Amino acid sequence: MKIIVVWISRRGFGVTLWLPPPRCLILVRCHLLRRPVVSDQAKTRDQVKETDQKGNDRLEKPPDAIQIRNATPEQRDAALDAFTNKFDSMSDLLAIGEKGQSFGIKHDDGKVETTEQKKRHKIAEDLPPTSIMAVALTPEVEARTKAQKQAKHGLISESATHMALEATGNPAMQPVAMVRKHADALPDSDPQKQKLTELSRELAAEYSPKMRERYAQERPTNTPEGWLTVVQKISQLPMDKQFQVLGAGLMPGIEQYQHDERERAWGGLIGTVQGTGEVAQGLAKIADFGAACILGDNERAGKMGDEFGAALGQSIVGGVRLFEAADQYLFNIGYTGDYAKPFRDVVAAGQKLDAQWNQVPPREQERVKAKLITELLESGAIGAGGAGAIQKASKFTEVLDAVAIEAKALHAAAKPGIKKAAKAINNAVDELVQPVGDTGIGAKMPIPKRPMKDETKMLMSKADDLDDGRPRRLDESGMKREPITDKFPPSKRFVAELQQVVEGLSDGERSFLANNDVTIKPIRRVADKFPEQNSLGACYDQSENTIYVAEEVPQLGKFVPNYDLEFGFRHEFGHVYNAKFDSLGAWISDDPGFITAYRKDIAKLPPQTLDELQLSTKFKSVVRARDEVFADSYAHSIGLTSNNSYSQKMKQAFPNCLRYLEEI
Amino acid sequence: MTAEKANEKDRFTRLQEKLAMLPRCTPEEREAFAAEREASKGTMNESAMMLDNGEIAVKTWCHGHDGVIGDGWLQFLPTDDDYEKAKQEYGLNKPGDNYYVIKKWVDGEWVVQEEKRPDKPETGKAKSA
Repeated sequence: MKIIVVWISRRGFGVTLWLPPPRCLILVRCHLLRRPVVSDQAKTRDQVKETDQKGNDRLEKPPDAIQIRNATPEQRDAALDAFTNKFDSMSDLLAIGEKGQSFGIKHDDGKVETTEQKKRHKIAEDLPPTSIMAVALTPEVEARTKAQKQAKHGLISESATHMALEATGNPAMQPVAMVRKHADALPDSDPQKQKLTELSRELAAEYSPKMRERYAQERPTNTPEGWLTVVQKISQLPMDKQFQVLGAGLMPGIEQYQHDERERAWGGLIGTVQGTGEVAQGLAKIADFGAACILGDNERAGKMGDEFGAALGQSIVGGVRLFEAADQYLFNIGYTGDYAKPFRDVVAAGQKLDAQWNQVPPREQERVKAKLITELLESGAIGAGGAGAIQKASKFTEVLDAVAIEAKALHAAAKPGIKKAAKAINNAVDELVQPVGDTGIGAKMPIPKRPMKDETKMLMSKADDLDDGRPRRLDESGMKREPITDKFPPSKRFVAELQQVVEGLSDGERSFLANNDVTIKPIRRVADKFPEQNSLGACYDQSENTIYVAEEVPQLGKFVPNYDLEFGFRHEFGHVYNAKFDSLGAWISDDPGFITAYRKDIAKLPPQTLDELQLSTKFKSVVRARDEVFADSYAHSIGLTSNNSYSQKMKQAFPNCLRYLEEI
Repeated sequence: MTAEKANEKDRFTRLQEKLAMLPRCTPEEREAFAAEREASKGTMNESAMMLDNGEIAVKTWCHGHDGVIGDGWLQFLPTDDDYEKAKQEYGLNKPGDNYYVIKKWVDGEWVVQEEKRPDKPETGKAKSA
């Protein structure tokens, strides 16, 4: 049984160690903290020396030793508990030291203090080290105290024990050990537990070479941290050794030979024989994903997406250039090498990622890159140089390998924010490897994992969640068809962008939409909702009384962002306003006044212009032509400038129609 | 609320008041217009033109067979990667050139009714979209 007491004062800090039998009290005192404060600085050298001598005398002859030995068990228990529970955090502990206060147990009249505040107050009045007292314990009391403490605090972790042992020979570790002990005593539900545990680990690694070495030698386990430890070691190996390790780790199957080979390969090269079979799962998940891609098993690949992304994220931030290693293996050693199969699987996984990446519009690619760079910079996994390299990468695998190079250079795997970095890569990968579904128009697109949220409903939509009796779209079997728009929601960024546009409506305009039960819905593509009208950027469905605004529009065989969002939306609003203004169903564009204005304008336009503007009768009926002119004129009448030249031409061609809506 | 927004609210309210005071079409006219709109269902137009600065502007308009009405706009600047591809797609070679295609919804698919390309004579009908 031993009791260790640590104290901090204005002069420094010290350790009191009680070791029976033979019972003895060992006091160690250090001057590591700051020197005495202003009043002390004014003292002469002799005065300071005298004060130090008094302190030393008290250290060597503790005046309260008799009192300690004679303390009652209750006093001792109270003292131990008060000592253990005194500090909520390391900062609390250090703050006390900074204030020049001491802490511990003071026997002013032979009795132990009863309240924490009172104790601190009295302790602060006294000079160290006499304010810090250990109490003598009999074997019975020791046993009872131990039982009480264990019952109260539970088992103290192995790390805490090591820290405490290390602290006996390394005074700087004493506060660290206390913090860890305190953290271990906290209930699992306490949010401070994990924080303090990590803090103690970081401080221990910083102040104790022994603890640092111990952490470095910790056996990897099948956890993200364990996997990171392994991949960080792999990344330090020459490329040919990486082939061996990665290849063995990638090898599928459960035959004993492969198992033994794997254990030998991993153990021999990175010195972590025991348990490496578990962490090989990380590589196996990547290879299995690649194998599913080769087999064309998209369903399985989709289901594996989460695990694949997590394993890949950990590998990359660990510094392993997995895709480059696989490429080099197949290039240098060839397809007949021992590990050709698993490396082919990795290459396939990379090809899958790159193929998905190529299907993403350039603007979206830049968004993903920017998000990834931001999160990796925040986590410390990459620096400014790495950000530039990622920005330049054209393939997704090049992005990942650029991260790996930078992470290795910065020893990112040892940094506290590494989990966040791995998660950032996981998220980026996740966006590319989601399960794929058919849009119904021949194109296959990822199916989001989360259903579309109600945030897409910008205005009231009474009909969407209730069966209002209106006919629904049915598939061939007569069952209700799940709307494709639910499977392919627009990006949050686009939803926010459209939300901003809608908020730009005047109160009167919004009231108009609300009073007429008009819903505005952002969708990824018009084709998701109306496969037959896939080339539109926005549309109004009168039967559903809904304006749909698309995030992407088709352009020469690919989809590009809808670049004229605000004007397009106002144009559709114009259609709605035109149709809904009159409760009896008379359209504004059919008003005699508007028809007169339209005729005046159109009379001045040559047939070629009417053709250019799709307004001659071969394009559409006159009533529909007026609808179009009304919708465009409405958008122009509120002062919006359009990016598209068609609308600019329309504005110039129909001044009387515009004036009809402007002169109010 | 900003001053502009307050003014805009006034503008929309004033527009509502103005339009409410103006004469509407007669019920007979209303029915006739409605019938004309109904008849125009299932029409899609796409046109492209090259402007003086070389920009290619594309407009799509559709009145679907199911009543959905919508629009789409695209633009290709001479500096865009797809610019040459767009020129070929619409057959536009110089400013002033314009292209159009008119489609009708027939038997469950879009059928080209009329197409004009500057680099080719006008096409015939019933060309599948």
